[in-house]
Amino acid sequence: MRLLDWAVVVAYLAYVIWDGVRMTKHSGSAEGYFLANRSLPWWAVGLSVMATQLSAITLVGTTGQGYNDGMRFIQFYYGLPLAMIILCITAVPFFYRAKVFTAYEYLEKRFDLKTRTLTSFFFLISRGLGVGVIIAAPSVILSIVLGWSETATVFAMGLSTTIYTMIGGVQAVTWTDVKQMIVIFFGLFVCLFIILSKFPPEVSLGDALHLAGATGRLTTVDTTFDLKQTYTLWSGLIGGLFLMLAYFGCDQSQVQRFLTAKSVGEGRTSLLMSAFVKIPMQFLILLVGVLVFVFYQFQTPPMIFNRVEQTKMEAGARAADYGALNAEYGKAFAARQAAAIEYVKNEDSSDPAARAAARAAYIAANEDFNEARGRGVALVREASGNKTFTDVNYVFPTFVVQNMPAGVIGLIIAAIFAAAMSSISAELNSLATATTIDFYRRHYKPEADDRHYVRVGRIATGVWGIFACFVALYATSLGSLIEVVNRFGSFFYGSLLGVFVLAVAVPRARARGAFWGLLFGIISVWIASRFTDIAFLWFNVVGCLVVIVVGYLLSLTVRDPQAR
Amino acid sequence: MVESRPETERELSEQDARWHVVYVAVIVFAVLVISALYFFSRYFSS
Repeated sequence: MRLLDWAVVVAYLAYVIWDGVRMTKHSGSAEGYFLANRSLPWWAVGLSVMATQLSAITLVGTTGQGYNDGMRFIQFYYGLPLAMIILCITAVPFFYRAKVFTAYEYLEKRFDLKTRTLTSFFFLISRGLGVGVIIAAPSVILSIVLGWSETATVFAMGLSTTIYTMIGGVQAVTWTDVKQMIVIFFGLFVCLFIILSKFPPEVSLGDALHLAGATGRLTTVDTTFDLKQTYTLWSGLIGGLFLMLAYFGCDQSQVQRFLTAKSVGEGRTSLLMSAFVKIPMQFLILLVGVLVFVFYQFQTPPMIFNRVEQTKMEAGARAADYGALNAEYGKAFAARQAAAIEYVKNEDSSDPAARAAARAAYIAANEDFNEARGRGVALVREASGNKTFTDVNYVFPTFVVQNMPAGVIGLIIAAIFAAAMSSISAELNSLATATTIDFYRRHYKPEADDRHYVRVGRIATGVWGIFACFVALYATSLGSLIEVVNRFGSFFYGSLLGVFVLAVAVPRARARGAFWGLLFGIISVWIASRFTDIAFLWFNVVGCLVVIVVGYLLSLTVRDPQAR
Repeated sequence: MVESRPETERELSEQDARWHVVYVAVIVFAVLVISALYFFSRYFSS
């Protein structure tokens, strides 16, 4: 990074922190600190809803997936529009009119205290782990750009965000989210135009897309019904629907967003923004990853994108093996580059046979190249003893640092940082809210004044921030970060959704059924993940259905007519 | 779309009807986007 890049990053971070801190004046009361006095406009809440979901992990993990696997991941979001409509009809008016701080408060009214406490506890576990992974993503970038250790970057990022969140409250979270979205979109478009400008003159955008399409990287609809495949139309529409319902309807980090809206209508509109914008936005992010893949058809990509592991291999005991593989990799790249150029030349050919032959040669060269890279990754796994090693998350940051001009590197790093900080702050704020309202106020000190709860909320934010930092240290070695977050979520989300479905849609449901149903749901997801090969998106369906069925059957065993 | 405070039952049902139109628009838009992505994928993958 050059001086100009540093200036951009520092200026942006300083602005975001100042912007967050100045919101302190609105956070004197519990309702102000946790719910912004229910006063925010729909567009700010809508952008905050999207920004909370779209963190730095989206840029790093999704672009990496676009590079490695193509656009299949977009199917994950196909259930989102329908989920948003269902939530607009049910959850938004329901929670808003109940005047609750957390989604789990309602469960005590409907069932009992232990069901509320258990659901809130599971939220804290899943989100506490999730926010750790969200901190890990920008820390990976920092470790590459600045050469710091991942441990130092995790704590630098996590602790600074924690301090800013403790002071600002939900007002700060929302308004920084708004600015974050603007910067992310700006950064993405700048990135996209620069990648396109770096293609060889004879390669147009259409040629680039044909190159990507030939390798299967533009698959956006896969109609295969295979429970073992992670991203298909069906897993997205069904599994994704359940996940989105659970995430936006039962996860405090999202429920808290629309609880800050001025009215039910503004809360609904804020969710519908995502229904319109989310899929096109994910397409844009994946497209950046796919175009990075095309860029590396003409420029040699590193065999291993993780610079630290690459250096270790070059200087380690297996340096000779690594060198030999790298030479093979170089040859495979040269062959693929020649095949790609030939394919582009023949793209407009009037001879279909020549076109088909060039395409087949390119596909074969690409497979050879993938095999060469695969052997390099396998060697790193063997030498490091890390069987799950992957460099998916290092693709985009490496590309940015090595190929973007001065100033633009700073802009993109700043965008990623700002995205991460405001997303992390939203998560920490919701964790602190659930801890303060569902545990501290409900179980320990129900009669304290507002300022006391704000103070407790700030302490809880700090404790969760430190916990998340330790999770982040582990998460950096777990593979594709975006998938890790979703896997964590899928373990709990379906079951939490099941409890809310029981509460809202099953009048015969009783506390005993909800409580034990939830536990059975979590256990069934654990069994499904341990003993079957089904893709993680289906865990949401399994968890939800088990809770509903078990919860209903157990409720039938309760004879006393319990109040709803 | 932002609703004002409803005064009567008639206003409430009018408001619900307006929301239903919005929901239908969201579904139509989503179907169009997924279809567009499908044809985009088919065109460039062939």
